[in-house]
Amino acid sequence: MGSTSTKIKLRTSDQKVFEVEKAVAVQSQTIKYIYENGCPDSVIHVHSVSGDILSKILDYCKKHVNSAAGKEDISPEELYEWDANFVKVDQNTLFDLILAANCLKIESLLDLTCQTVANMIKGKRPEEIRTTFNIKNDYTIEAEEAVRRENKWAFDMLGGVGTMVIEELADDTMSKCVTNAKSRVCVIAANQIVMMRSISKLANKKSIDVYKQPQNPTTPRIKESVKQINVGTGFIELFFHFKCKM
Amino acid sequence: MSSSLSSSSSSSEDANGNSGRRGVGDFGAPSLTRRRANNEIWPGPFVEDLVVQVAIDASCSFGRLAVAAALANVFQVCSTWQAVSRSDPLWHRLTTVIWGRTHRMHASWREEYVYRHQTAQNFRAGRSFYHTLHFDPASVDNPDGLTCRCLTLSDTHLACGFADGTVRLFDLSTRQLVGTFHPHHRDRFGRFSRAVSGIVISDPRIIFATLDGDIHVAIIDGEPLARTAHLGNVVNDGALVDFTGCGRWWVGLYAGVPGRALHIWDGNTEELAFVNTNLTDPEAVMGWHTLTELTETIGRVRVTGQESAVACTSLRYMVVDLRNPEFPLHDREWRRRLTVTSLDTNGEAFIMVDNRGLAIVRRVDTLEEVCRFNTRNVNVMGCMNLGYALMCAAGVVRVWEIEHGQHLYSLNQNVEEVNAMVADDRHVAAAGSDTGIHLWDFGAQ
Repeated sequence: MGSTSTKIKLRTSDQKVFEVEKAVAVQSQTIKYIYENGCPDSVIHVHSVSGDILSKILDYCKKHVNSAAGKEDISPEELYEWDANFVKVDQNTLFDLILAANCLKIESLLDLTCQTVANMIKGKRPEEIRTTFNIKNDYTIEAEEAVRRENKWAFDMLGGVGTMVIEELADDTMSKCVTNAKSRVCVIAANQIVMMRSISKLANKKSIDVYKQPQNPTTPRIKESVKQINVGTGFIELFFHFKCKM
Repeated sequence: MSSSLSSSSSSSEDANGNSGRRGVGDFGAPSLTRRRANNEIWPGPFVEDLVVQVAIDASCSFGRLAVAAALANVFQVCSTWQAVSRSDPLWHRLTTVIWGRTHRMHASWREEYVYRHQTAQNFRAGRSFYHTLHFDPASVDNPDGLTCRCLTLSDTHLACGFADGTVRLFDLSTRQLVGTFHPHHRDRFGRFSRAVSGIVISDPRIIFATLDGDIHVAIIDGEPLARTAHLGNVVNDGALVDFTGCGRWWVGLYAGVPGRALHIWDGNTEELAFVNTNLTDPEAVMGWHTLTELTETIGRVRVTGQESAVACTSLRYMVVDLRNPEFPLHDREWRRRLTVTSLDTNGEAFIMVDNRGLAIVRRVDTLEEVCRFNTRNVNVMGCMNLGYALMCAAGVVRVWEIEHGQHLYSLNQNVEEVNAMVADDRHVAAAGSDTGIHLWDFGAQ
C-alpha cells in the first residue's frame, strides 16, 4: 500500500472539513505533533482557524511543499513573488493569517507575515502605526512620557562634534549656529528620523543655509516633513557651530 | 502561545465562521471576529520577531546607529508592544544581529546593546579618551626589545609583541602592565628570528608566534616563561611572517619555502591541520631576509568571525574557509599592487588599500563591495572594526565610516612611524618607534 497520498482531515472552527495530503498538513508543527502523537485516523480539530483562513493557509503550504519537492516548476524568484501576492490581503485577513500561523506553528508563514508587517511599519511614527493597525494607545500621559525617557538614548545618536540634531521639529523652528567644518545634520521630528544629510561639500563656508529644498527626498515621510518646513516656516535656517578638527 | 488543538470534536455550532461563541475545549485562542482595538491579539513571539525584523531593516536602510530609534518607535505604539522590550533574550538577539556580540560584558543584554550603541556613536563623533601605555625601558637589554611589531586586542587586554620575542600584556581597564612573557631560549637564525610575528588572546591563554616558526603558549595570569606548543622549522617552512587566530583556529602565513604559505592549527588540540598554498612563493627570497634585517611587510593574514581567513601579499589575496581549507573560497590577483599593511578584517568584511590609495571594503563571503574611499596615501597602516576603518599615514590617523565610505575625522594625536595598529569595537591601539603605545578608548561612559 503506497503511503504517498496519506490524507489528514482537518475540521475548522466553523465546522468545515478539509482533507489534505499529509506532506502539506505537517508543514504545521502543531498538526504534525498531534498527528504523530494521536490517533492518525481521527479528524484533527483546528479550533482557532476559520475555513476561509485555513483554505488560504493550505494553499500556501501546498505551494511550498510542491516547490520544494520539485513537483511544480517554479523558480525561487517566482515563489518569492507568489508569496508577496499571497500577503496582499486586507488587514483583517492578514491578522487572521498571523494568528493562525502562530497557532499552527508554520515557521515560513510567520516569517513572511512578520516581514510584511515590518514593511508596513517602515518609516512610520507611533501614531501612524497605531492608525494602520487600529491599535489603541493605552498609555497614560505619564506612562508615555516614561517610555519616551527610557528610549531617549536611542535618539541621542548623532550628538557631538560635527553634528546637529534638531528634535521636535515644529512650525517656526529655527536654529542658528556657525560651522567651519564638515558636518552632518540629523533632523528628528516627533521621534522619527526624517532626514540625514552630510554637508561635506560645504566644508569651507562660514555659514550655511540648508533645507530650503531637500536634495533627494527618498521616502514619503521626508517629503511630508519638508512640506511642514516649507508651509509653516518657509525654510529653516541652520548655521552650525562646532569645534571641529580637520 | 500554547493553545493546543484537541482532536475531539467540540460543539461550537456556528453556521458561519464569524460568531464569537467559544465552544467547549476552546482555550487560548482569542476571538477572531470583530476588530475592536487590536492590542491584545499580537502574539508575544511574533512581536519579538517583528522587532528583530524592524531592526534589520533599519540597519540596512540607515545604518546600525539608526536601529535604536526605529525600535523606540515600535515600543511607543502600545503597552503590548512595549512589553517585549522587557525581554532580555530579545535584546540578546538584537545585540548579536546588529553588533555581532556573543558575550555579554554588562548586567543585562539590554545594557549591552545600549553600551555598544553609545560606543559606536562615540566612534562616529570622534569622542575618545587617549592614553599612552608605558613599560620600563631599563628592563630591556636588547635595543630590538623596544620595537613593537604587533598588537592584539581582546575585551580586557592589549598584547604587544616586540622584536626580541617579548610579549607585554596590558589590562585595558587599569592600563597597567600586568604580564611579560618570553619564549624559551633557543638558537637564533638571525637577528630577528625571535621577533614576535603575531599574538592570539584566547582567555585564559595567550598564544604568540615568533618569526622562526615557534608557537608559544602562556597563561595570562601565569608564569612569564611560555610553553613551546609548536617547534618551528625554518628550513622546511620558511619564516613565519604573520600569525593570527581566534580561540578555535590559529593561522600562520609563511614565506621562504614554496607551497607552504598557509599553516592552520586547531586551537584546541594545538595540532597542525593544514599546510599548503603558494601565496607567498614570489616573496620567498624576501622571506629569508626578514630573519636578519628589517624588510617591508611581505604578507598579512587575518581571521573573520565566520571561521574564514583572508591572507594577502602585495600581488594577490586569498580567502580560505578554516574548516575546509583545501579549496580556497576566493583567490584573486590584483591589477595594482596592494598595500599589505592595510589589510584588516571585521566579523564579515575585509579592507585593502591599493597602490593608488584607493581603499575597498568587501564582504568576505561574496567579495561584494561594501564601500570604497580614497585614503590619498599609498603607505598606510590600516585597521577596522564593525563600522569604521582607521588608516594611519604620515603620522596621522584618519577615520572613515564603512557603511558609505565617508571620511569622518582625524585623531588628534600623531603616531610617528607606526609599526602596528589594531582596532576593535571599543579600543584602538598603535605602536610606533617610541616606547609608548598609543591607546584610544571610545567606550561609552
